Amino acid sequence: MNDSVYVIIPVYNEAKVIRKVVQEVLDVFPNVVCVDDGSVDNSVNEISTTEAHLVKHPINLGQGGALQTGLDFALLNPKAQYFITFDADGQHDLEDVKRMLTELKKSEYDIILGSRFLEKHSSVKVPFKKRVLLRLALWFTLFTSGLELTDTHNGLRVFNRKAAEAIDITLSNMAHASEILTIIRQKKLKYKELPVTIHYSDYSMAKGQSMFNAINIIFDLMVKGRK
Amino acid sequence: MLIKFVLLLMVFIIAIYFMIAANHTRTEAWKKILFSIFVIFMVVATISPNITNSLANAVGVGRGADLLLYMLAVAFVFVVISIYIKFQEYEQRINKLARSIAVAEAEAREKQKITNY
Repeated sequence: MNDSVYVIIPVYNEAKVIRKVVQEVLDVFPNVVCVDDGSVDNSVNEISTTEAHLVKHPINLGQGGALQTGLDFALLNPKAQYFITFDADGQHDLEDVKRMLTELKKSEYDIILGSRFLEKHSSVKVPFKKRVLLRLALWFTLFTSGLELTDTHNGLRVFNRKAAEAIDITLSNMAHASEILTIIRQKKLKYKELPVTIHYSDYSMAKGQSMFNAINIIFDLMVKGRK
Repeated sequence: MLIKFVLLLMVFIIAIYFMIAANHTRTEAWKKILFSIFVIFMVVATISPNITNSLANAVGVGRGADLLLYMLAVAFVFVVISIYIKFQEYEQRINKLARSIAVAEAEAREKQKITNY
């Protein structure tokens, strides 16, 4: 019944965890698209051992670029109706994904966004430094896109074909999260946030965003705003 | 006055170089006009530097050399920004190219898989 669902996982040097993450997703959703963004470790071989579709970037295009490639690939199949963006480091919860998908199917929403802050229910606490950074991102989003959200840089999203066709990520770095929100507003997609749990492991924390990148993101979006 | 000769020679070389480059690329007309004015100004300013002095005085700057420096600063920022924008455009093109290569290659691999079964 999940044949029409495509899970898109951008992969960049995740050889340690990627196979386990992909296997777990494949148990629930048969269509997984792994977009390798020019990893220099063993990620590609690890993905090849699974049943996931593998799309390899010839050069590094950034996470946003990888998401767009995965979407382009998934959209080639006319049967694909639902799309999920999922992080490769295993910080997302498949139970959350199932809930979001059910919500999307029964409602008129085009896109369901995962949020770490919607409810106090999340079992794992978000580290303080991370919370400050994400709070700043919220104000910035409210200011630039006019969307009132509680968590703007969550990699977990579930959306329908209409939204998938509307999304056109041009920024190559992490600014794509804000770019998707801008697209939501411009294309008037119906959106909703659902609470999700993020499993912060030492592995995912080490891979997370630094404070400096927040400045990069703001700068990039301002330059893009000129268009 | 050797310096005048050297400067004029450089202007001449730059002008020739631009003509050749502009013929190859589709340089916009306004850029050509702007550049021609710039070349004429350089030639005039080299032959009689007093003109830049009176120009500077007219806009309230002490020396002609100072005026040139200010204009250079503005021109520099303008050039940096236009190169930055151009660079971003090229990045977009490369992104699209790399993406279509990746998707085409993935499709070919999947077809291969199916025929192997």
